[in-house]
Amino acid sequence: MTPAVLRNAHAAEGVSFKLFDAHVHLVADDTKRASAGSAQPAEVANDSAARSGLVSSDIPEDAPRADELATEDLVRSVKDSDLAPPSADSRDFNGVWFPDRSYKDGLREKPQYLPGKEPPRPKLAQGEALASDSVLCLPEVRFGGSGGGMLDMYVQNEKELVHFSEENADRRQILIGAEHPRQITPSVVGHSVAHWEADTLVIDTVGLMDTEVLKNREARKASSLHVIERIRKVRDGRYLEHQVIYDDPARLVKPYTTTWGERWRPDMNIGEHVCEEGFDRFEIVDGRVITPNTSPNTSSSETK
Amino acid sequence: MTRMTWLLMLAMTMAATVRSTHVAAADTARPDFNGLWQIAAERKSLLSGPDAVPLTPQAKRQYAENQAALNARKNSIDTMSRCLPPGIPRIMNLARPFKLVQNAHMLAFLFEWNHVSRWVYIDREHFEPLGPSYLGQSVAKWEGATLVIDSTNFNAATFLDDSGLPHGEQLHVVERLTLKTPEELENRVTMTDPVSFTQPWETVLTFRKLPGALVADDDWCIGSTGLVNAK
Repeated sequence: MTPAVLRNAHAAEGVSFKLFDAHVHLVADDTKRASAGSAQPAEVANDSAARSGLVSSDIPEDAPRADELATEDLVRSVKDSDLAPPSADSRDFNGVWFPDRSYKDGLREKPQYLPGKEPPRPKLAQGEALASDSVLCLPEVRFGGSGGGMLDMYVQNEKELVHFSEENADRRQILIGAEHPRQITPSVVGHSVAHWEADTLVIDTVGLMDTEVLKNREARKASSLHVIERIRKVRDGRYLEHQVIYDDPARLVKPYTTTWGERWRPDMNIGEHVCEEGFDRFEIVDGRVITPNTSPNTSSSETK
Repeated sequence: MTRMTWLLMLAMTMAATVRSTHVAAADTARPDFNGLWQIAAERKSLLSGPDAVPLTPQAKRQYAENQAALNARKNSIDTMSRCLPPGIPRIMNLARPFKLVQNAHMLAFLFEWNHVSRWVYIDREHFEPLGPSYLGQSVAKWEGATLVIDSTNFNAATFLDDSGLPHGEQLHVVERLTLKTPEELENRVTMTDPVSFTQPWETVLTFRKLPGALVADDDWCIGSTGLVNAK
């Protein structure tokens, strides 16, 4: 893992944090990978976990780790006046943005699941860590942006917006002015097209599939989840506001909407995050992560 | 349509035009690299023979050790076998597609392999790195129709090709990216590393344009290792 000097300074020695039901202590290199699932806004974390079929029953809503809060405080302490101004073009999203949990504008609804469609809630013992998608370095679609105190970067031209998430090097390609094809090969990130409504980019994503399909080596099958995002610059262009509408008639009573924001940070650079680094120190048993720290008597396996 | 209405519509159209072209303004002023590409002919080794590369004695020894290990199927010495990025230029030499997304300030490489991405900052100087990395730090400038990419700040974990050609942290890569035809992109790569090479040396990678607009974003290397099968 490349050390992000400022952002990861707090994690230099290893930190204790809450990981789903368990309090786990890991060395610094393992901190992000084992905790990324809890680093997103609660709605997003729940949604991501729901797709993976794994949700803790005890995660408090909006329960960031202490080190994440410290990072965010550090990032927020920089004044706008000390930063280069963003592009005056309200349709120009290019650059580096920091997901900011303190952004509270907009609608924030909770999902209501149909009977029997609630995500499963595995019970973990104290000290156990869940083999979440993030821990397994699975590619993810990050409708909620990067977590873990990491950055987002957008590279945009007239025909396309690419959303790079520093976390796990995830990314999405959003085709502006295009339409969904009649046949879509289902994928983790789905198929995204967009159009402008005034200065708001409206992104329509379908063709999403469950990551469990990848894990189980099953044939790819699209879920009925349909996601619409409305992204616009607000607060003098210093924030990107994302309104995200999730609609899944097979699982949800009704669509629900969440909103989050990220701050313009031209002084920061997205880093090369390599999730797989250190993977050979983990062992996955019964959907649980076994490390020397969580199970001293279990030796780690080597990735072949 | 009244004159006022027409003027209003004209003004709105002009405003929309100004807005929509701002982001893309520089896209048309330079060669258009946007699209899907793949190496025309994958080469296991970038070298034509063991004497063709100006390896230092230290690098020769390391290269021999790497090749012996790979021949003995000790693949763990190869970052790719552990799902870690293969570095450059190797990742561009894989028989896998990659996509280029370009604007005035950035050329982004979206590799299919394990959804790895590389960012080339155009018209920007090298900046304080976060630390040595697999893909290094890349900045670029235009020389006419050629984009000259300058990359430094590599870790020494990667090979330069599948044959195990080593390098050190002082590796300095200069790429000259030129669109030879709309369907052919040439990357003339010069590598310098005082620890590994007695002099700079050059190789040329040629990419062919592929149809389509998207490259897969969900290639999952760890999934192919079998490690996550334990249930």
